[in-house]
Amino acid sequence: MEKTRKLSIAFPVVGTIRKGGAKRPGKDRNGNAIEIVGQDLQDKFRVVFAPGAEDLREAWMKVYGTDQPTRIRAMVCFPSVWQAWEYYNEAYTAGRMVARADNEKFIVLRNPLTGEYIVRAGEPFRAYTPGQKITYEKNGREFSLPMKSSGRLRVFIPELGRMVMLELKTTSFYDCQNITNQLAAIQAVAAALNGGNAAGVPFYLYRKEQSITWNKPDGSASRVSKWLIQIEADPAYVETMVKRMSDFALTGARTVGQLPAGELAGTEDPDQPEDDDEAPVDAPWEEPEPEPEPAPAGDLTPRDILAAAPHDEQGRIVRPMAPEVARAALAVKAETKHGKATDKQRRLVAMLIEQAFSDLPEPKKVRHSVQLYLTGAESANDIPDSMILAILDWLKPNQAESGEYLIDETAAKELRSIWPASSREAGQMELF
Amino acid sequence: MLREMSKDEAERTAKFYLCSDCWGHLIVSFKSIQLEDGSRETRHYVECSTPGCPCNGFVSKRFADMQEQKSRGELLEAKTALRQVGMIERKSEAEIMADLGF
Repeated sequence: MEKTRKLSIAFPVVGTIRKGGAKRPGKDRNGNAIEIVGQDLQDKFRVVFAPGAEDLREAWMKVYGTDQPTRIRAMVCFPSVWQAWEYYNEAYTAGRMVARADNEKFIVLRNPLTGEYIVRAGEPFRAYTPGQKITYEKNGREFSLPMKSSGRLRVFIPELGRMVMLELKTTSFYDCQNITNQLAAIQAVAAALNGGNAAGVPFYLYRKEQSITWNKPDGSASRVSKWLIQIEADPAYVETMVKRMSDFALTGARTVGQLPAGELAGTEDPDQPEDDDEAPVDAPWEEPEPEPEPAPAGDLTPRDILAAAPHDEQGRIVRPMAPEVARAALAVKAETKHGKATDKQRRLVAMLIEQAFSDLPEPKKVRHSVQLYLTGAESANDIPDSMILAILDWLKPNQAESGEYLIDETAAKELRSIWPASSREAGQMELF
Repeated sequence: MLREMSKDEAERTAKFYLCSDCWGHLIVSFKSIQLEDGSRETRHYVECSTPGCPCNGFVSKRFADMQEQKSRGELLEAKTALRQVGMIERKSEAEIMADLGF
């Protein structure tokens, strides 16, 4: 099939991730032929590609080998997860949406008989109470339309190799609660590890059987087991990022916890029929421990700072040094250097410092920040000759067999701990 | 999928709506049916103009236009966000100039 208009837009949704099987033929109570909702696939999803996206379906099958996977590795591709997640309560009649509400007010409300707008774009304000129904009268009969949860999460699958999205759909209240809470946790992971940018934080979509406490309208309650959608940040990614963060901070402390599934309870009937199916509440995570503030340097001279720094039994300063100690040590060392630094030595200093931050997205920017902290000059060209020579003494570069210069391991650790301090001193927000 | 409608409704649907699966145009078709009493009746149907499309529903033309516009902004935002985290490679100066036609 040729590429359709739907797939020709700049950033198309090329398929849908569903929780139920395909619709099947059935009969209504009057014996008329209708299509009935497919059965819930329990631990599986069903991925359906739009007409014209056959090439993407092939790419999908190469990675997953099935269109009913149990686990999908995905990510959002927007700075905030809330740009990818849409959750409303909606009511339809004959395929036409007659009401849409968030949990407080109607966004859209139309007369079910005439289609006339009563509320449009939330105006005028009309309160919505969860569980409320849309009622109307036709030919002397009263009709009541239930407002059902409708959640749509647009995800990016990097393995497809194209800038396209898939849409996860659910009409379960409990899934929507779950996804909202777990996406908040993903955003928290992004805030802690990725400068607040949720794009590219990989997570797994899967389903897990969970019990739900259903508080019935008559005051009684029962527990029901349901297969609910779960979103969990890729543990390997979190591990790598936390390690990197720990390396910088030299604390070894983990600042972001995993996301335990919470208890679910609600007044919505978990067994109500739905196009697809449902998910945990509260995903508490540990509050990041505040990093200890560096001791104020005040009017202390570099020699005062070195004197106050911890020393070993031989009277040498303990390494790795804290950022302010390293800066003081360099200043003192530079006083003993009187030679002229060559251009090659300057370039070498720049290259060696960047080498310590080569795994970051913008090592050059980080180098400038570190140089400014250590020497008072952002550019390597502006650093005094004596300081260039002192830095080379500190970094102790060794030429590897490959010809590449590698810096001393302890100095590398010290350098990496300087970056957060330099950002803090510059008044910037923590990047990690 | 063929959807049976009254003539007016079918024409209105084809004028203001598109197929929800492919956003292709809708076409109105009709056929004459012989009823049990021997009389004939013309029935009208709406279907998607894209061959092979399942046409599970309709979306308004306005919705499709809005999505098209929104999508351009979203792509730009997504690319910027993914570049920031190194998921998409940054373009070199030469590539940007080439894109601009220099």
